[in-house]
Amino acid sequence: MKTVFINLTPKKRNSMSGYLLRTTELFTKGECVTINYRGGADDKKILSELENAQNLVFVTPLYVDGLPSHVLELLQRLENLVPKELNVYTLCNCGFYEGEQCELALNMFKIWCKHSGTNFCGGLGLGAGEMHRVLRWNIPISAISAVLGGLSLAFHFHTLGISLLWNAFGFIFFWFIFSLNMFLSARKIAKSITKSKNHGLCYSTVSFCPSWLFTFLASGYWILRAFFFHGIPFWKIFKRYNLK
Amino acid sequence: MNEYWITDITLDKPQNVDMVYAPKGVARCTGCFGCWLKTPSECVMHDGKQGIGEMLTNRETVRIISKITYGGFSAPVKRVLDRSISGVLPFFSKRHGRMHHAVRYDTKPTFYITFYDCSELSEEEKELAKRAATAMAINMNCKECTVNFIDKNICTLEDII
Repeated sequence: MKTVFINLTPKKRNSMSGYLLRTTELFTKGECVTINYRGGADDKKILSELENAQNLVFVTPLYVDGLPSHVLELLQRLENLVPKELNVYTLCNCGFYEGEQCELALNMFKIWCKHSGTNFCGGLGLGAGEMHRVLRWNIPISAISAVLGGLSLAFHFHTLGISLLWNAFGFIFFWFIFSLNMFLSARKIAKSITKSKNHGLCYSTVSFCPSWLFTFLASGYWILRAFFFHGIPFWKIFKRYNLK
Repeated sequence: MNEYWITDITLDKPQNVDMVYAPKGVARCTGCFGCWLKTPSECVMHDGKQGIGEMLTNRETVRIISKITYGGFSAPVKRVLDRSISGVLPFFSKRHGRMHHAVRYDTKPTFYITFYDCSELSEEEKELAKRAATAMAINMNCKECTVNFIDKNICTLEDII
């Protein structure tokens, strides 16, 4: 059983699509090949890998309630060239809380499958994509905190050491508990991919995090990111475009 | 100008209309979020289209003329729309029972979407295109969104207006 994963994010590294792809690939049995799509030059590589593959998994971000333009262009080029016996799955992630907002994009792949003669086997729409992506940073932060905690204890700074170890636990705990839905959904679709069976359309989002908490955390995240990465204070985020 | 058009076919530009011919000179969105965080309200790529977000969300009327591709906008039109998130804020608000981006401008545009060359498309594909167009317009804080389908593959100004 061979599965070809195509990562359709335009980001070169550290993308949510890449994270979702690797998580799903972890649970998928058989031969797995990943192609990080960068442009038309990758078409040959994609078609070559698909020659002896049974499953094709598109992993894409949601852009403005649909597929990014470069994904549409790729699908148009592949439409008449892909093997007809392929089972096609889609993993779509969006920044909104509700994974259901990926439904339109998942159905666009269903339409493409009808045009290309391939077999649409469903997909996963994942919400809170940016939150999931950022939560990964909890792992190295936790590791650093654990190391510092251990060193603090070794040098007899007991209070500091205990605080740092609790800190380490907290970061790992929140990463795991918020990401649990994503792991379970990825595992579930990976099982369908392994068996080449129809998965239907499923949706998921961040676990143990109500929408009001998500909204609050997301707002804080954007404000902090704008300030610390780009030096933009929060009131300037509301700037209006000045037509010259 | 209070009217903004996006089209993937050549049309005589009406007076008092800002128009972008989608297949030419529009860089692809790279998903960097710079239009929210680095240069709020405009795209970081200065290709003459960095103000697309403002044009889609701060005009009284927005018209989009497009073929349907897999139940959505054509790739050239989508390339323009992908650059439009600078017209909204990164923060979230609930509208119509779902999470959407908070609005940057007070204007509530009226969207007119015309899909042409629809004669050989299934009802499923047309219905999906209508839903995708409406969802996009709601995210742009529209007052109203009207979607039309034209069977013929040439679209003229008379078909649109």
